[in-house]
Amino acid sequence: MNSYTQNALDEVKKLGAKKRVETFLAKIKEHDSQVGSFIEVYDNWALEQATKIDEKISKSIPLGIMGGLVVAVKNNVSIKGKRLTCGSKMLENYISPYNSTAIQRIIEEDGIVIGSVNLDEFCCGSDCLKSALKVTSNPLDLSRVAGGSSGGSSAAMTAGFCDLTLSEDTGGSIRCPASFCGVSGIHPTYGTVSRYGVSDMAMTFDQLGPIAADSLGNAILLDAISGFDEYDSTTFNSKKTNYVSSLNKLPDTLKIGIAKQFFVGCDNEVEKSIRKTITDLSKNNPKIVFEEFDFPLIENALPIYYLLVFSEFASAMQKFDGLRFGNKWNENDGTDLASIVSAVRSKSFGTEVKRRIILGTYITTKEHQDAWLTKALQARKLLVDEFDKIFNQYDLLVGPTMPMVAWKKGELSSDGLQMYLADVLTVPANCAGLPAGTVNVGNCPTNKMPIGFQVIGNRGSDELVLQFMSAIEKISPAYPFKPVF
Amino acid sequence: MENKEIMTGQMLTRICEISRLKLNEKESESIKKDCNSILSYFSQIQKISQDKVSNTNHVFGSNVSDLRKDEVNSFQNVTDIRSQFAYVGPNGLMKAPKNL
Repeated sequence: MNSYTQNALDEVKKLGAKKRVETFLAKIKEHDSQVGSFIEVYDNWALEQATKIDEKISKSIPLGIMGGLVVAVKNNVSIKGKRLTCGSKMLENYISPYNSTAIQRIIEEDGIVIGSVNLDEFCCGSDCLKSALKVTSNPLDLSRVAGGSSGGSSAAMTAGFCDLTLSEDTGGSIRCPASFCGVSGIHPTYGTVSRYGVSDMAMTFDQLGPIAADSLGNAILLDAISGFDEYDSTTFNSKKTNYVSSLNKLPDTLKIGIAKQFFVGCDNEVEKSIRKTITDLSKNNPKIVFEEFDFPLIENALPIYYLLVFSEFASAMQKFDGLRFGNKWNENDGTDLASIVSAVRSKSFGTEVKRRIILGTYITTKEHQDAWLTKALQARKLLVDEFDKIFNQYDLLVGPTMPMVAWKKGELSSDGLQMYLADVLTVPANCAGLPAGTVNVGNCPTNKMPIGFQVIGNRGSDELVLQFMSAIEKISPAYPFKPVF
Repeated sequence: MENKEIMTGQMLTRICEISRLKLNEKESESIKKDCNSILSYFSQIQKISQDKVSNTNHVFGSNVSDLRKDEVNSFQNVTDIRSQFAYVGPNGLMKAPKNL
């Protein structure tokens, strides 16, 4: 059976790109008022791009890696001439003056950009309820959250509004929503994809990546966007990847680790489903050895991650002052510079953003930085070193992506800490810059919501992570869910 | 979980001033409570033994690739210095050349 993405590629040639874009646009028009995934739909531009693809097909000009697939883009990635809101009132009317490198590459490789999708304000959230512009619902159960911060991306995928989405993951913003909506996604090794043109949240953690229906979709988008970029000095200067061609070349022999701590606080049904998948994988691949091990330091990943993100985030937000960047000030905002800046920031940022700025400022003040910031930087080094030792023993680590399935809106306390605790399984990979993917492995028997299986690799082993995700799809076919409409 | 008062009201007022944020009374109470619960939970990090551990500079423990190397030239006079700029206005203002 062909994968969802393979069918989409075949359809481009059979039906034509324009026809497919028209179908997506009609679907978005009919159903997105229920889901709330799109911030802006680029009807005319998408049709123009599709027409160019059809012309190439008619002239037998080979298509680029993207092959005419339709992409929705998280709205913290710059697209020239389009609004870049970051889900915030602060940037509600800001127009991008240039294309991010990733968008430029998608266009050059014959991808079609159909629109921008919702996110928690400046990526601060795990449910996509913290966007100042709209609420995004889970298309599988509209009373539940779509996950975050890339909730608009995962919801658009599950609703069938596009073929792929370009998303961004700082501490699980790709994997959490992909897991909650029953699709797949990958946070690549830090430095694989250029961050040029991406609004920064925490620059030592942020990384662009795909959310797709299956591993083939992830591999295609990653092939298109990865690689060295002179505009981002943290990108690797390595030769061009080819994740697609290696997708089905999983090595016969692998040793895979399962940290005992991955199941601490995990819902029973989630644990059962993950353990069943591991058993099934063992049966199908007898030379793959799974082994449980103890990883106590991982319990500190959450404070390491959040303390460092708070400090980097507070710094990144400083530029929004209502003068040069962000909502412009008006005469009612005050008469002196300090009052004007405070007034603009206070009325334009949401509560979660303010909370993070305050915490980031607190831990970076001279009298508190030794107790918090320095400790977190040192602990991050310990965690990175520990991961290095672990990957000397294991090829991959596996476990649940999220400790629970998508919760009902309003079910989780809004005090911040409860929300942060939900990220406990995704943030370790970001702390060490490791590639980590999620793939759907079924649903919870009681509420039918999807469960995500996480695969974490050593730095630079994105290819192996994708190969393993593809192997999981063979026993648990991807994209089995249907939206409610 | 015990919530110690790490962030006092006075401290919050000071931090808001530095952060250029104004909070109303209700917002201030709620954020103070949240900050205390978050910092109290995250204070577990202070228990990790970190003797002789360096700070993380980069997740790969090495330098970033392809940073432009600095080229230091010695200049003899103002004319040489001015000639390095892409544009020098009549009022003496100079526009620095692009790096990329």
